[in-house]
Amino acid sequence: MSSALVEMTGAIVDNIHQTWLYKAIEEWCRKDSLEIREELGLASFSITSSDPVEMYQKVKKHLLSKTFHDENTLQFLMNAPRWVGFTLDGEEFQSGQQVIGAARDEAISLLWLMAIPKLIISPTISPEEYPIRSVQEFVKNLMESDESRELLIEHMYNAMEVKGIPDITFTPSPIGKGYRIDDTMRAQRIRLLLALVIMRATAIPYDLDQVFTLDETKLVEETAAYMISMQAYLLLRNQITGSGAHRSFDWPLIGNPMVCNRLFITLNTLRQSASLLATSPMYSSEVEETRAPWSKREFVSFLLQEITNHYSEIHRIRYGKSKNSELDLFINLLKGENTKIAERILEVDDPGTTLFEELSGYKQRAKVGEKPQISPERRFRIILSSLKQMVPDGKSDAISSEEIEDQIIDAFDAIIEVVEGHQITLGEESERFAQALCFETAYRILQLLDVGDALMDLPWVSRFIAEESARLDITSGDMGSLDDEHRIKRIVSAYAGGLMYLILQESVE
Amino acid sequence: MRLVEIQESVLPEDEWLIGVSDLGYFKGVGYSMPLVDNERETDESGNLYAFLPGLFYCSSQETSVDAVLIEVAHKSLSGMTLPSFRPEDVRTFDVGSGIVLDEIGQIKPIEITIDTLGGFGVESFLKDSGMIKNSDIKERYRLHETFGYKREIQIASHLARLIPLSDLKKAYVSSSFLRTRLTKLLDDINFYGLKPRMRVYVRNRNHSHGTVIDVKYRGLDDKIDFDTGATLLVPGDTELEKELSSLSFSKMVDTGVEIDVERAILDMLLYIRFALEGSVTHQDVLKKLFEEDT
Repeated sequence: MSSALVEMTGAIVDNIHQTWLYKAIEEWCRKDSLEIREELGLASFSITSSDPVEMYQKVKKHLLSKTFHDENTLQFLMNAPRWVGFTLDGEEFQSGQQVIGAARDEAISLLWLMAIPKLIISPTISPEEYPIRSVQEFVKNLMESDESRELLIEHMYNAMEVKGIPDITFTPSPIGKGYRIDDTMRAQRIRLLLALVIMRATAIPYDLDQVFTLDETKLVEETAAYMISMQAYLLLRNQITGSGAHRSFDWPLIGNPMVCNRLFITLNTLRQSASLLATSPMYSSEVEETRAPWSKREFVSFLLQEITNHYSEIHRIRYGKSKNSELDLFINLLKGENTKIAERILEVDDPGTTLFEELSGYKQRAKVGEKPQISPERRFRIILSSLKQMVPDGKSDAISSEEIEDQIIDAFDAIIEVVEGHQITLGEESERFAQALCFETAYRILQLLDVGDALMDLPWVSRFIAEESARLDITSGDMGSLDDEHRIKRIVSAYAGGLMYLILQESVE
Repeated sequence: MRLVEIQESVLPEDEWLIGVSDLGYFKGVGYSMPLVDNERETDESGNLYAFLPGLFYCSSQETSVDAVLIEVAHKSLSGMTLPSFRPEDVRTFDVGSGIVLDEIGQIKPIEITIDTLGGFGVESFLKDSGMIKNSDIKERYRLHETFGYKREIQIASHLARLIPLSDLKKAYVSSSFLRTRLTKLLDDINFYGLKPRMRVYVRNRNHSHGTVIDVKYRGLDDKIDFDTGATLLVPGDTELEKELSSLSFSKMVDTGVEIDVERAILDMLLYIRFALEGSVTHQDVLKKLFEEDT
């Protein structure tokens, strides 16, 4: 008898109220087929009057859609059994009650699987003590066989009985009555299904094809690594945002050496588990077509970026578009110096204290109005890499137009600075230089969003927008802004507008 | 035959060239195949030209020409390549109607006539969005201190929500700036008719801001010297005459026949005269330019 399983199932049940998913599990466990039938308004209990497969899917969808409002997740959960090779056979059901019962059980099982990554580690455990072996043991039992799953059910039952909720059932496998598959494939495909649902629940992207090629041992390790990575990442985020009275990074606060030190402990756990991820494009980078886990420096960069994002979020919420130049400068300094800070942190034995000192230094520099000393070329790289982070799979529709707007403004601000800063060297070519730089920058952003073809429309759309803008000034009598001294800004604004239009268009199509 | 615009800059007050042409003639813009010239060093012979024959009105020179010739050169400055010409700056308006926004900001298609030109404007939808004055915009975006003009981005996001790209050209042809340009072209065609202008617009290393030069077509005088191949005359500028007459372009309508500047111009003039059926009234020209499926 494994003490690991006792530990894990105990932890899951202890944490159960940490996720709203449990509410749904509880609700559906306590509703019988009849109640669900009434809720759905299914007229008859007889399956002769309707297609059982259709009824099954209807019930399953009903239960899941009450919890998962995101259409993609819902579709994933609806289709996942089919993707791994199971077919639903209506002939296996003798009554409508059976159909509803089986669909209910599957939905409850899926809810459990989506909940487990969130429950498996208690929030009170510090990251260096994450029970990695026990998590693997739990996943192994989940995936190995029907017998091992029975054992899990037993452990879960015991834990839930202690907790006073013996009527809540733990159903580890979504595959029950009605699902058919060739017997030789059954065990392996259930494993895959369990792995995919858990991976999905962690919100860490995965490459489906690569997951399919893993053998049982690897699949267990991989699935466990997804959960540990998610837990470590969420902890890192929570440590940065804080809660209640403990908001160490709430501007103008910038943490303290102890809090910063804890960030590195969490980061270390994240790095150890995320480096094991073989099927995810996250936490890795591609160099000459081979994928390699991030280096230590890249993880530190990532931490700095998370901190920077946190301050950007504060800026957005607290100040909106209005001005807080100190925080704004602080954010820009952190963005601009990210790599340098990461390198300096790597050189020391006490990264927490160093991080705190770095943050203090930049806060001081922001206070005196210092702007980041970065070459425009590097500034574009930073902007492009922030955009790249937002669109991991070229899914520009997932980014809000406000985020795109911010990035475009950042990029085009940089252009104005470059051109104005070099006006003397550029001489009478300033404007052509500005146009070329705008065009080039827009092209790179469009390519990054996978809509490089839109470039052909950039000049005329930009001109159209510039014209409409100029006309507003003319009709309102505000001719001052059409002066020669504003030409560079107007050129850059026109391209920024043109690019904005094209991105928004492409992402809605 | 379509309305074609060539843009020098995104700013509305800068030079523009607008005219009628057939972009099928060269499959877009014609690019010269520079003839081998032994007398010239190969590395400095930059006579690669982009060429668009057609009846064009040039804003700076306030006159019309029979063709536009732009030398394609790249200059490198502070790590940036500054092209003298970009194919993306040439556009054809292949639309059959225009659009305007009605009082409640809804898109309404309109037939393009002299009276409906210039009917599109963004005021109607900006009025309600609470942003219009530059001073307000400056206030809102002061955190980006270097950049006071964010209105274009606002216009863009409103436009993107209202008008899909497939319809945006219809809005563009219905805008007031385009009406101004188009009216100049229509007036010119109406006044001077379809006779050759005997002028071409040239932008190259000697005329970096573009100039209009007088030319003579030997083809019109029936004096083509087939032996030398040189047809186009540039009185007073033998160097340019030599350069332009050495250019050769692949005409795509007749499966890749090589053609020189003069013959392409005369071809196009004939084609335009044919397409317009000799009529040069504003309304007839407009009708031909915005016919569906031409």
